[in-house]
Amino acid sequence: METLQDWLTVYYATAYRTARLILRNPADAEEAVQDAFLRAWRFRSTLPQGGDVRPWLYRVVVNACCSKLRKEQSWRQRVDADDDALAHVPDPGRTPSQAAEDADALAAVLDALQRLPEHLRITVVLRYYSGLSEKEIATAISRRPGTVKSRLHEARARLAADPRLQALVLDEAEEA
Amino acid sequence: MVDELRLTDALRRTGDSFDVPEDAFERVLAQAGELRPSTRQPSRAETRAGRVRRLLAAAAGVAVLLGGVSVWDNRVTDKAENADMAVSGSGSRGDGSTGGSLLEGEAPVDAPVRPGTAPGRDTARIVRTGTASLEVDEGRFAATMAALTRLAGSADGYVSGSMSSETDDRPSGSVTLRVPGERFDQVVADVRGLGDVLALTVTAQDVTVEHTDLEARLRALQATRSQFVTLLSKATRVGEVLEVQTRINDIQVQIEQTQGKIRLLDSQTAYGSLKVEVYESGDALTQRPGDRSRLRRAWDESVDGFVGGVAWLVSVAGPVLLILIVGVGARFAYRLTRRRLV
Repeated sequence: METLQDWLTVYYATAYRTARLILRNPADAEEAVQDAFLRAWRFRSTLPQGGDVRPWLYRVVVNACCSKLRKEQSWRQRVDADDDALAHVPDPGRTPSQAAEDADALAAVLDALQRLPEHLRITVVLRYYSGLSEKEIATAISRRPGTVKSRLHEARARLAADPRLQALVLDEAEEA
Repeated sequence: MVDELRLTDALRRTGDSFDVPEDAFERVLAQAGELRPSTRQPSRAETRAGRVRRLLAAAAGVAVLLGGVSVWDNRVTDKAENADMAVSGSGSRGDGSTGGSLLEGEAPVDAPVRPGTAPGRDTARIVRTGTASLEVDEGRFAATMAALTRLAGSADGYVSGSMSSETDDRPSGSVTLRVPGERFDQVVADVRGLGDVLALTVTAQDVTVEHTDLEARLRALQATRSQFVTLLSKATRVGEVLEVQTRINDIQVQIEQTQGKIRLLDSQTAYGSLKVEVYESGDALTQRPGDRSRLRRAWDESVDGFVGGVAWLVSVAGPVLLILIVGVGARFAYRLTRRRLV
């Protein structure tokens, strides 16, 4: 990819939604992703030739989100400001009641995610939304792969304890 | 345990429900157009060790700069402390406070002097505070409060707070005046003229050392920030960039906090604060023992005497009773003895 436009076309949407899942607030997410892309584009000469840009780019995005989380006290006041975004759930062929149920389920997932500690939330989002491997996540957050594995395990256990996420929990027979 | 596939599906659906903001690409591209592209490629001669050496050298430069500022800062602090001791003379030195006005025209010894200014009171930063209790004639409370307000205005000051109340049809209250430091003593003298002064306390606290210390700290922080900004332009790896940027952000917070403290001190030294409490004569709080009538005094003395007399009787009753008991007992024993003999 030769231009910033190419980068944006390929990576922006996923990076933005990743930042939204981490930060929740849309303005903060857009600002963090914008900063990350600008910074990454400015220092693209340090990108390994022929290497995958994703882990490197997500590292910049994650650091921008962490800076936002550290500075933002007021995100707690704005955490519920844009839940109307969840009203737009793509449900082709579903009835309105099914769409409403979906919206509730997704709101529950989002709430549970926000209740996770920052370091667990980031790892979960990078793994189960952005689709990075454990090794790529380790690069993105500057930790060892073993740390990533244990964080994912702990996050899944915490999410399983949320009564509203029982639909995601494996029952004993399935676990066995 | 949460199933990974189900969690993936749930997060994908949640995340995909977020719309990407319109014009987001355009905003990024517009900002990128203002950036100076970093096209510098590492040369063959530049190895990783070379980069580390450059960063270490820059960090050493920052350390030397900070050390130099710290030494200079200590020298200023020592000199200011010496100046403070010279100005305050024999007053209490616990916190630099002294009672009463500063000595007129006395220059601090070896005090830091700004270029172009003569040493003396101009370089000292003094926080002036005071409280006064004023008794005025009956019916003069409102007029006195208005006079105090006008006094503040005429001294280019202002009223920062006031309070009034009425007890037994007698009003009382207080007003806090903020007046320029150089007019403070004059305002105190004018307040004295508005009524009988029941109490007056005036303090002057020298905060020159604290102010100088904050200014030195601010300069050091700003110099450090400049050094890190220079480092930022030299950093080539993303990790280095992020690390330096984080440090710059932290230093910026400290700069703003220090600037806030300096502004607060400037406000406190620019304007002294005088709280004046006003009472009308005849108010219980202003009554003195001499004001009571003679009859009232006589009655009080009579009551005191009665109580004292009763107390005396009680105190002597014990010994008298004991004597009586012993006397009766002795007489009874004597009569008994005489009957037996007869």
